[in-house]
Amino acid sequence: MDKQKQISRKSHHGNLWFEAWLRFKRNRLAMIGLIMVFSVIMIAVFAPYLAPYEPSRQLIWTEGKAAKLASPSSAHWMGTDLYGRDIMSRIIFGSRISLQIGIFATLVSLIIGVPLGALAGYMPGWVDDTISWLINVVFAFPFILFVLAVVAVFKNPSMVVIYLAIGLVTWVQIARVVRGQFISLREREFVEAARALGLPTWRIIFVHILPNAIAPVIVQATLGMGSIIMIEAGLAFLGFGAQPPTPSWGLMISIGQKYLATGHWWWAIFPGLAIMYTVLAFNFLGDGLRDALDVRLKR
Amino acid sequence: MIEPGSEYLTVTNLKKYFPIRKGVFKKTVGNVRAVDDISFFVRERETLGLVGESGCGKTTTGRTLLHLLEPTEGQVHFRGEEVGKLLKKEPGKVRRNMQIIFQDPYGSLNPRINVRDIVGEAVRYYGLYQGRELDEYVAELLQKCGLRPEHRFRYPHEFSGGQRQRIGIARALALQPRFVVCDEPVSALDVSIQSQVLNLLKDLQEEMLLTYLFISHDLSVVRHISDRIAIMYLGKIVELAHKREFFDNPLHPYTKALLSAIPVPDPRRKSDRVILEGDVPSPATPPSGCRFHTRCPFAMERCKMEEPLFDDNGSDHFVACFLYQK
Repeated sequence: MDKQKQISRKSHHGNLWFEAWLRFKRNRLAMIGLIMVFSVIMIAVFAPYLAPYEPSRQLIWTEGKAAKLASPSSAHWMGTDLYGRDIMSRIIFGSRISLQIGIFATLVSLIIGVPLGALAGYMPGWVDDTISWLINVVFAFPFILFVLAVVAVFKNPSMVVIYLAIGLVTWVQIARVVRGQFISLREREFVEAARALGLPTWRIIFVHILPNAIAPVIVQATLGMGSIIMIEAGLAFLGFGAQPPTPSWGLMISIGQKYLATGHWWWAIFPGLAIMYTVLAFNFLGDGLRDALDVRLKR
Repeated sequence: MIEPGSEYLTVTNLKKYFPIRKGVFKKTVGNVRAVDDISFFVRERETLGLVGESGCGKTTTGRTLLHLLEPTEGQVHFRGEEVGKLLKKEPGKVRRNMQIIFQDPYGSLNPRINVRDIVGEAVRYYGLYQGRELDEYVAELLQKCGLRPEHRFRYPHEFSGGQRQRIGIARALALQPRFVVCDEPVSALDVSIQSQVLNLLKDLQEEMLLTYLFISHDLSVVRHISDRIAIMYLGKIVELAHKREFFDNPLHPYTKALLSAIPVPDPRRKSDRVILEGDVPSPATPPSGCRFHTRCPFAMERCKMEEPLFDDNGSDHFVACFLYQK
């Protein structure tokens, strides 16, 4: 009897997450996205072992000259910059900056966006009106200006300030998704059943609504990672993001683009490709997750 | 007149209006009168069938009766106590005694939790059973509802519509309620499954001494399960009588039209169908006087001016029509 129970339990681990994974695996673009994201993570984690040089060290040729603006060669696959730093090593270490920003800013936006969106979606009336108004204001505000203002308030823009500033803008995307989910789930019969059973509000929200709302949030957060990495690059480009000598991709483009005209294309192009690769990776992954997690398609 | 609290479950002057809001400032420009001043009672251990077309307010009646929707006006008394007041004092007492079974077997179960939690969550919350005892209780309940005990580890999407409906029934009965609103519990099921679930509901009623309010649009289903039948039209109950009386001696013109629409499997029988003209008016702007006068073949001048009382016409046969008012 006990054994039979175990078998039936095992063969029907009918978990929706598991089924989503099966659908995800069949989607080639999604798997490519996953591998790409994984590769970026691995590069970031093992940067010290992968980078051929220290990212901030100014290299000197054997003949004693500084290795300034060397074009790509077998010694420097992506060339060097004006200060004789190896661009490939800087890009490898730069992945850490981009991922950090992506992860922490997304965390900030989730911490703000999920509770506010949930509140707005579960409580119609003035609560929803107020939060929706706030969302619309933030949406309408030119976000670069907002981030610049936040960064400017803190004289010395540390990374933490940048996470916060980006998170304070991007939470509205999350909040919108969560609100929409809550509004539609609130009316579902299983939520009504929970209310009819007299279960407390917190249980209804955390056991019955939130787990069903989480899939689109994951998708939104993943897609958001890509755009946050873009935002950071943009900030760095404007000089408000990471400060030199941090090996930030955006910063590298910002300085390197001045040398595009003089034929030193490698300084700006390679970080640009790195950004493209990473953003594309998160977008593929996000799209794949959406297709895999979308319950509307099945049911 | 139906006195508040006089019977096992008494509904008096119940109204549920949904405001229609328009414009930037969401000004209320009108009301959809989904349920508009209805009174009736349900006796202990009987089944009252509530029948009506879609949009007539029967589902809203069920929800409002349980205070899942706040009534606009009116009261519900259950065993002498007013439900609205009791909910504020002892919500658990109301929720444990009064339950609901839903129509949609797909929308009514949380897809993220397994059957044991769906059925057992409230039992654990109210501290009736815990741990191993809870597990056994759920297994036993599933068996009672025609499912296998080992089904409790599965998730809703692994079941068919009929099985899901059985899970919904198990959930509603887990707290051992006395009164259950069955909101079209078989309408979404195949005809072959319908009778199985109906019989299950009947057996459970017998065994657990349940009282049902059975909402449906299907007269043959209601005929099968009900002791008394109520007919609803545009937010009002127009007729309510014992099953036999209802089918043998329908009074209200609307009821007569409905009954004549039941197909009879006899090709030689001459059809004497009452065909109603026009459509159901909007519940936002219901007709004056009797709601049915715009489509009633017997409409009189008086019907447009006054609203007929919903009253006992003798022998427990309630009807709201001037044709029968003394």
